[in-house]
Amino acid sequence: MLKVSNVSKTIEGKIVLDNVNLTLEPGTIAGLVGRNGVGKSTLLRVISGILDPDHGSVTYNETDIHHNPQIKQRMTYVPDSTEILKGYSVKEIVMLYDAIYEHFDVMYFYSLLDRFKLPKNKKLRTFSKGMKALFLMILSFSTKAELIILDEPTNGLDPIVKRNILQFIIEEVSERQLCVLISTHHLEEVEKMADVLIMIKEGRIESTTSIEDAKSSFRKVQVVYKHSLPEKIAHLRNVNILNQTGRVYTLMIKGNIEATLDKINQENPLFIEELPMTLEDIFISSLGGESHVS
Amino acid sequence: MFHKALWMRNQKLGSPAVWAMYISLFLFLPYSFFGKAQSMLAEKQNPYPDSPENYYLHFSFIGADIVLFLFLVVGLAALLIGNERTTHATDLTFSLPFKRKDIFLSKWMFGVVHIISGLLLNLLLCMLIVKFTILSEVADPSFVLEFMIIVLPFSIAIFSFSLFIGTIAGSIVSQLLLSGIFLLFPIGFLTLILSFLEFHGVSLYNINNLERTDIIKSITLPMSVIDFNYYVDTSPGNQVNYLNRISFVMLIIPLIYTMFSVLIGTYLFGRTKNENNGRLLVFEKGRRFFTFGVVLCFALTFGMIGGGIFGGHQSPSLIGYYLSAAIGGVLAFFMLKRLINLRMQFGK
Repeated sequence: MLKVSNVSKTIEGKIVLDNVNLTLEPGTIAGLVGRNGVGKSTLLRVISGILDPDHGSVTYNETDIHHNPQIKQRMTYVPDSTEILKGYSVKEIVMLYDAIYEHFDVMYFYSLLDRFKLPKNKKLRTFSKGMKALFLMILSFSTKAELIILDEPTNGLDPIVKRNILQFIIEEVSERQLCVLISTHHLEEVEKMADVLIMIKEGRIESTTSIEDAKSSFRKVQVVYKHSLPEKIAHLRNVNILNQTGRVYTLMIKGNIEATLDKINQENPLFIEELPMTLEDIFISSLGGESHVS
Repeated sequence: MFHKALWMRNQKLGSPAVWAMYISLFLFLPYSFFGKAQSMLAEKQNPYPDSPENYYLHFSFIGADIVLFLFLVVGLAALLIGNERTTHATDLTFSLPFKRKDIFLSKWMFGVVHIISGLLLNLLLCMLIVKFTILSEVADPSFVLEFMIIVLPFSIAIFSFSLFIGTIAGSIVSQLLLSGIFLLFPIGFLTLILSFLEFHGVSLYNINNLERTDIIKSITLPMSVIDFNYYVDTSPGNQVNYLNRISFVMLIIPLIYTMFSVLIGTYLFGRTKNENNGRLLVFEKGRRFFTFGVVLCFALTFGMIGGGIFGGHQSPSLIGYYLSAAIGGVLAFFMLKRLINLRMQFGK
């Protein structure tokens, strides 16, 4: 079990992580979402032991990963850069990882290379970006680690490679009780595969909920009033205006849904309709106005 | 301390410098010695018609012959630490299940093993060449042994010190620059201080040629290797057998350098601030002191140069000295202000 306790980190005088707490159980795919520069990568790098926290601790199975990095035999980190092993050939990487990770499964690794039709006798620098990303993912899963941390794993990949990668992750998690923590901007990916949604805002964990809970605590409605949106509704703290076109308002209601809908109806809208909601709507509503979406 | 995986990783990171080290040592030591022996043999077989007796009567070797190797030793340290910081490779290394102490010590051990094996192998070949070729008629191979006793600890110290600099420098460029500056710092700073005193009427140049003493040469690590000089001339009526080297007592200095570098380096590497990778310095705490030091040195250097320009050789200008020093100090301050926040990273 991964436990991040009260982790804070200041970089160049800016508080990047502010008292972050997080617990991830085995068998979970957790999506870490947040806008650019809110500390997602920093959090993953702290969890991986690349950066030291200023305060707090990161433990895996109650062992501090910064004081006892040997525990990282059970976890791997795939950075957002695909350049980390570019000077290596596939064979050299296999030898290196076999020497690093006690449970590295060479046969499994080669079987995955076959499955995804990746070359076995080439240098990594000759791979395309998508091939490198897929390769690093395969490498990571072949270590038989229990916790896999992926920083923007599908950035810049074509839809087919992306689908392959996501499918592969789901398969791996369903086959063995491992935990995958993914940082991404692609919310549809998180929606498809993650069990837990971790929203991070200004260095703080805004919420940690299951995708279902997240969706059930929000409601997206489109309303039209005779004039503009009544102030009573506009001033409600749990109502966010996602969009306005003329007198047509798209609202996001966060929590206390039925009572809020009653209030909206009491103002006699000309038209009210519930809209299908995506994770992106929740993201925009929770982590920043539409105009600020990165 | 020894992990096969870390050795393999270091092999990949440092292999260009390691290969270059072996090749340069081979070219400048046994290959060069053998070449000298061959040309001496050729001269013996085809002596000068006007003085046939002078064909093979002198031989010389200076430590400066392997100066390229010393550069490569610093380069190896920079590839092992600075290059990782510059290319984001630290993200891989630090996420691996190894203690930072072990990562640092494995780098040190990797470098030391190659330095020792490279030097031993090539110097032993040199001894064999001196012993079993025509060179034996002129030179005594014991000078190679004496050179080995000096070059081994000093090369290890240079490497250890450069590796230590890597724990405070944020990129390969800053590690190379700072290693170069601090390796030559003792003699450089002494020169600046002597110049400062001389401009103020206190001349210490006559005190036993301070800059050339064994202690200053030894503290300035590369100097003691470069200054090694062996010259033998057995021409009739011109018997010279000259060996210039530092006293063996001075070997304590590279030992101290090495111990200091490994201990402090291990400590700092364990507390490294990877978020500052790519910058001039990794740690924020020492920046003020560093800035002060750089500004002071630039001021003294500009003062030394400028004071000479303004005044004559016999009458140095104190106003010129301080004016130039102020320009140097201000320039250094503003240059450093920009450089210290510059991030130099590639390969994302």
